[in-house]
Amino acid sequence: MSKPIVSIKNISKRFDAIDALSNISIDINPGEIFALLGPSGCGKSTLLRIISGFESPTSGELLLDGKDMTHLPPNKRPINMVFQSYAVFPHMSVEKNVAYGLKLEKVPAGEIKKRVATALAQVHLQEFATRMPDQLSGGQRQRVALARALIKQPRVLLLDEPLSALDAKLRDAMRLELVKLQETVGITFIIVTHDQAEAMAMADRIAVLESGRLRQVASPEELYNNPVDGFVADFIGNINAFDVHGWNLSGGYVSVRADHLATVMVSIDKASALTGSGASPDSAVLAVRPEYVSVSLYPPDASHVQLNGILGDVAFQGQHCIAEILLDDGKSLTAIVDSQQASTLPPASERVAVWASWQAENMLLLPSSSHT
Amino acid sequence: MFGNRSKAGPFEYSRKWSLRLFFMLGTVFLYAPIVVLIIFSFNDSRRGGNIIWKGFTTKYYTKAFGNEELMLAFANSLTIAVVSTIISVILGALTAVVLWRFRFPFKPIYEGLVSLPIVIPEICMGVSLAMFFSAMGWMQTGDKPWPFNLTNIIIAHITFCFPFAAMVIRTRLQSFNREMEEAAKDLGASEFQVFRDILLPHMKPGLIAGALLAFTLSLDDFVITFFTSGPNTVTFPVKIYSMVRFSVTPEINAASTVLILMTLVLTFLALRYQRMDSTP
Repeated sequence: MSKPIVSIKNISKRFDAIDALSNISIDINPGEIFALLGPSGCGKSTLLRIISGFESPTSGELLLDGKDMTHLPPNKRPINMVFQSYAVFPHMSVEKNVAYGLKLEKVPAGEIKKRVATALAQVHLQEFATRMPDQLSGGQRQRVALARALIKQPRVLLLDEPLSALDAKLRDAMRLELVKLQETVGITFIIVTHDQAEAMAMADRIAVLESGRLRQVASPEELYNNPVDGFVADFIGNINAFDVHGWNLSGGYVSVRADHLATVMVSIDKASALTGSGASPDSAVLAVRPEYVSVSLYPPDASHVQLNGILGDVAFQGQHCIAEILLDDGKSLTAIVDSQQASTLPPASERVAVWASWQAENMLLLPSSSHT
Repeated sequence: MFGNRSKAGPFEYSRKWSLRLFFMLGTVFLYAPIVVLIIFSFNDSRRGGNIIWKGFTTKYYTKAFGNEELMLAFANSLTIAVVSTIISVILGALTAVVLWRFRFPFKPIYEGLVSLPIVIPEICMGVSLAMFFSAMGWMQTGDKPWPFNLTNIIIAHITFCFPFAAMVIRTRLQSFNREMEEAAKDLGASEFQVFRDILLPHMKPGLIAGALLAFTLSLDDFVITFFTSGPNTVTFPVKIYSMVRFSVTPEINAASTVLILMTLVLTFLALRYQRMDSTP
């Protein structure tokens, strides 16, 4: 493994009495797209501002290429940022905006001109060089901000919610384009986002944060298949969670007793709730993702985990539908069914009894999100 | 949807005749005297107070421009206005940036103090400044060579002009996106470079509007100037006042018309630049 380009070491940040970040440690590898993911208020933006130098941590240190830069001001860091509002300078033309960083470095005018042309070509804005920012669309302004940061050839490029201000169609296109751009320039990207789909689609690795704590750092696949706890599992995709009453270890399996379900055998390697200090059934959930749940009007194969409920609303999503199954205690379960099957299901108003079922091997025994 | 002749809707005040009438009466009351003043500056009569139209002439404009004392007063007024505008805008800009950018103890009190000269009656400011200058022994500056004889008046004008400039510039700063500043720093700019390259261009419309406002205020100020000028320094408004006391001639109408025109043009420009505030 290569040496990390950015090392976040035990960083904490307090604002008055609030812990915005507690003891975060992450290593970011050169050349990767790294996403900081979490709901709003989780501290991801604070962490980004610490990396860029606009905030300093209360404790901990930040290394770039192994050198301490915890207290280096932002204008002295070889790190550039694309701001959420893009912050394109309104009184400068596109090329002046892009050239600004080099002008401050006192790069000779001839070289500035060459590099501006390259940077504008990278973001497909060649024809817009002389335009003023108020003559550009939101997407084009973002490209200006990108070019303006990339031209500095930073060690790391930070992107704060880069797609949040774009409309859905443009967002998908830009997502792909950012990934391609990163491959071309080879600069490490750190992206802050609250959108798990965005993080999953773009990032090589994702750090999931929640209320200032680091939950898990892993690749998108790893996060999806082996979430460390109920919070991560629910944030990356969705889960149906059942409260656990008790468990028994037997060989490579745990037999788990949970709400609504008969005893389920879960393989040890899918039972992260067993490891760690505070492992107890009280703070664990048994979970299954909606995409593994099938809905049927007849009793399923006896080998499947199954339960009985009443069919609720079915929401059309295009290729598939999200079906809701109401359980007797007021809880509900979601299942993803393909649209063809969904069209054969009776409407919610008929309150038809259905079976929801899935295979035991698709279940995860996770610590619930509240403990640390 | 509705015909033009339909009854006026509940909020269509502009279509109610009674309200239109009040509006017109109000406008006439406010502006008729000024219009009359302008019209009679072209009256071919020996006395300005004469309300009988005796034919069109521009000779009183020629006469006003030929009046050496009046022109000296005008030159004085312009000098005072230019100097006090420049200093007011610099002070106002610095004040605005400090009040906008920093948090410090007793800031609300300081903010109140800055805008106090806007609400304090002019007569009080005039008296207090006059007392101040005489206590300092500066009342005799009228004997000094031009333009140093204007120092008193310039200082007085700065005290009441700069709060206006500060307010206008402060309003403009409110629309500044702090991410611009961070973006510039992120690209390598120092504090000073951020100020010069990013903040100052953003402030420009406010600076121009503030300057024009200060200039207009200074140019036509009478009360404070009257109290702070020495016996031998005369500004344009003060000169007109003394001419009126002597005798009212159309020459005064002509001079006043020129002043109105200048103020009007500058106020119009100031409003235009302030309106640029809405565009980011």
